[in-house]
Amino acid sequence: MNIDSSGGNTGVLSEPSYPDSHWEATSSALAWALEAIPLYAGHARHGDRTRIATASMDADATKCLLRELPILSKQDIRLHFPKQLLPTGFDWRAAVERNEAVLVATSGTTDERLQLLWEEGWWERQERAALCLHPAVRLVLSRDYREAVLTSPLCSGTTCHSGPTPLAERTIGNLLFLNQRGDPTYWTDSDVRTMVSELNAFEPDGLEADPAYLAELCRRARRLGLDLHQPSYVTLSYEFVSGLHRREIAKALSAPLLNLYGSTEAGVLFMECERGLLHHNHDYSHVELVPSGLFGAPTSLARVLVTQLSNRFTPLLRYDIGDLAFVEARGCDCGAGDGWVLRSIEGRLKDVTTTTRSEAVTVGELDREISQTRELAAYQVIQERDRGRWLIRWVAGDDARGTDEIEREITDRMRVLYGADAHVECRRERFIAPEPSGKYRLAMRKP
Amino acid sequence: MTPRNDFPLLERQVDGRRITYLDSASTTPKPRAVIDAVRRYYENHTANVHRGAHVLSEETTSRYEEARFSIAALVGAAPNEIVFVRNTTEAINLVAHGLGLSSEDEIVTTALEHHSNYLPWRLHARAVPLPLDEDGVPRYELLRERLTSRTKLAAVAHVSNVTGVVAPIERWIEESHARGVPVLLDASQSVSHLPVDVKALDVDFFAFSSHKMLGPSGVGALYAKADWLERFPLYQVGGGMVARHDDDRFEPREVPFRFEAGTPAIEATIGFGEAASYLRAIGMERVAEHSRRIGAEMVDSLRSIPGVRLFGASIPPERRIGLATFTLDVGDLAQRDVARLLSDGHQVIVSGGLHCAHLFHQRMTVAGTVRASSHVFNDSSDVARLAAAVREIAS
Repeated sequence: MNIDSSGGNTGVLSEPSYPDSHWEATSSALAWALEAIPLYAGHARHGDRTRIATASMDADATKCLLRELPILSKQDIRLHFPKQLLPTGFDWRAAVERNEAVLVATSGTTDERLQLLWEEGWWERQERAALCLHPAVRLVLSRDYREAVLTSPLCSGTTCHSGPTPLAERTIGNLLFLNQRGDPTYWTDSDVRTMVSELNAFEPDGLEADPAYLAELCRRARRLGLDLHQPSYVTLSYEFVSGLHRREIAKALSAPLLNLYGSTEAGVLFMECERGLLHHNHDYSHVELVPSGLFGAPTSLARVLVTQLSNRFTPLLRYDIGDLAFVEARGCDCGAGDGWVLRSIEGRLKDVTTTTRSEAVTVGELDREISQTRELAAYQVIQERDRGRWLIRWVAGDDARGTDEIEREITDRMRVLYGADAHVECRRERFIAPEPSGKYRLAMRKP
Repeated sequence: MTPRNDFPLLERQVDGRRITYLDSASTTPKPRAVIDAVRRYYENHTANVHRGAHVLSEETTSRYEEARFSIAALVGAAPNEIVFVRNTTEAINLVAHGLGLSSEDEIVTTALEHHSNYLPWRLHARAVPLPLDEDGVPRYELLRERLTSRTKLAAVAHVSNVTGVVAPIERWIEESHARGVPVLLDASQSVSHLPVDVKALDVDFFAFSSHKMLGPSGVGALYAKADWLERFPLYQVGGGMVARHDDDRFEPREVPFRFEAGTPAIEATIGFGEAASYLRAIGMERVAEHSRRIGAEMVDSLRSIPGVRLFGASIPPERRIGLATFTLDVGDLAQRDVARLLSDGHQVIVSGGLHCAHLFHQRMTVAGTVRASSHVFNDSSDVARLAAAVREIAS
């Protein structure tokens, strides 16, 4: 990251209240990880070890100790997995063979890829806890329910050898995995019909989806005159949720669209409530929100550091997930419980662009402006610093106005964001390619 | 229109003089952006595509597939309608194979075509060529009467590699489709000179090569409507195109990957995508305007030289690209020798010979021609150098 942070606001965010049980769990997880995990054992000082051994850490001591630990990056995980990140003496291969552990891998560009170990069933438990923060979803989950999943199959490393998977193999317990292609651009009409047909036959109570994939499915289904089954809720996860996605999905699905925020390596961290705010899933993680320090950004724009509370195999301490979020200082009265409340997820730190005055523009800020252009189906902003140019590639949705008219509006909106004198260029595209991970990138800076 | 210094080749000197490159219809020089893309692949990413679990393979696959998007965007196609092949020739052969032709079937084409858009039809079916007029221009108006119940395809060069004349493809497509006949356009000479929207054209097949559009050699693309690709039988089989292989059966991958067996020309394809981006960044309308202007200047300047016979020059500049083909009547000198003199004595690089279009030269009763062909980096000074050199040889 090479964003200028000089002059950025680095004030402190006032922490919300958490129940004692959260601090006990955090203290306990910290004590265990500092003792058992070689990477962290090297970080703990003698005094820490004494405090840990006597279990004398209260909330303040826990916070204090956490702040003294170095921040864990994706690169750290890549460099130290498995041996330095697993408990000393732990035979992870045997655990995988006994189905006690699952080796998971995230794909993506060089700085995104990770491998780590999940305890069998851990993902489901902590995801369910997050989902239950929303009362309507909690109600659905309290009875027998079915859920359909629409995201990238994430098999780019082995596509040569993985074939179409029959419906029976994609139905696992109460879950149906709909998609078989790594890039929705390659969905044929037949693929769309099959997914819609399977969705409608399965009649899930919930739909968990990558927002870009679901928006595309809704758009394509509409063009084909296909109606979608109406689930009770839709959770949007896996990548940044654009206003464009929400608008397109809402045309086809009447259920509440709920942002479920987390990552493969950190777990599900926040769940959107009925007020549109995001609540911390604090039984499974401790989160520190640290002001981003980006030039021109308010204190409430924060980086997200995660300490896992229940990952027995590869516990992450102060892991920087790489995203930014706006904190809602006033909290929320929806009843979802204690802990941090976020106003919005703002996208990845590495995707922050800058104005003509070098002020940071998050993906969220960009999206709130650009997605107001109603006819857009997709877009991507590339800030080319060497050319002093902001290039916006865009794809028209259905029933769009003429190119010139749309580009005038986009240019105006870009200048609102980046500066009245910003050199903005628009390029109409038919498609925008996803990243190797199957996700779409809305903004980037070059070089 | 484009800085010459984007093209390192143009700095080349022969016998102490800078070359004047006017042979882009054969192959184009490569801009620095394309060279850098290929170099970056070698220096930073070298890996196979669609196979590896490691980071370099994922990066390479990403760049390779981005190229497909870039090329699709250049011609207005969807990425899944772009099949990577070795060149235009292979693209057309793939269509000839895919259509399941028999010797009774007819393919309407023209006598002006490059071998690549003629021999496959002779091999798989029967070629029915439209005749040429005295200027070497196909009599396109005869298409309708050549279409019969046996016609399986109408295949024509979008722009002739010999004359630079743009075929009236809208009418060609309309008349063919009215008879239920699909259309293939050999776009080797058009795709980097004219704006193209395959959807607006409603063309069925559109074949082109990277090396004639500022990209590396060894890769080309076939655009085909998705329903054609879904119906086509497998072309070649092997790694990369198969989704599942058991003892008793195998399942090909989806379109377009099922037509891309074996390790592809990875670095060339990445460069191909960069070339498409380079052209789009200039803007194809600007490219076309420039090409037409240089073409008109070449024809005008050559026309007045004694002994020069131009072909396709009866066609107005707006229906030609920056290409001029001519013969120079200088005693017993063959046209190939004229090209050699232009190269060795004047450092003007042009083609001389039959340009893979023997039928054209037979019909015109000439043993060969000289072809000067421009691209985005050429300007009026290049045309002046060509004309001066031809004039001197003629004198």
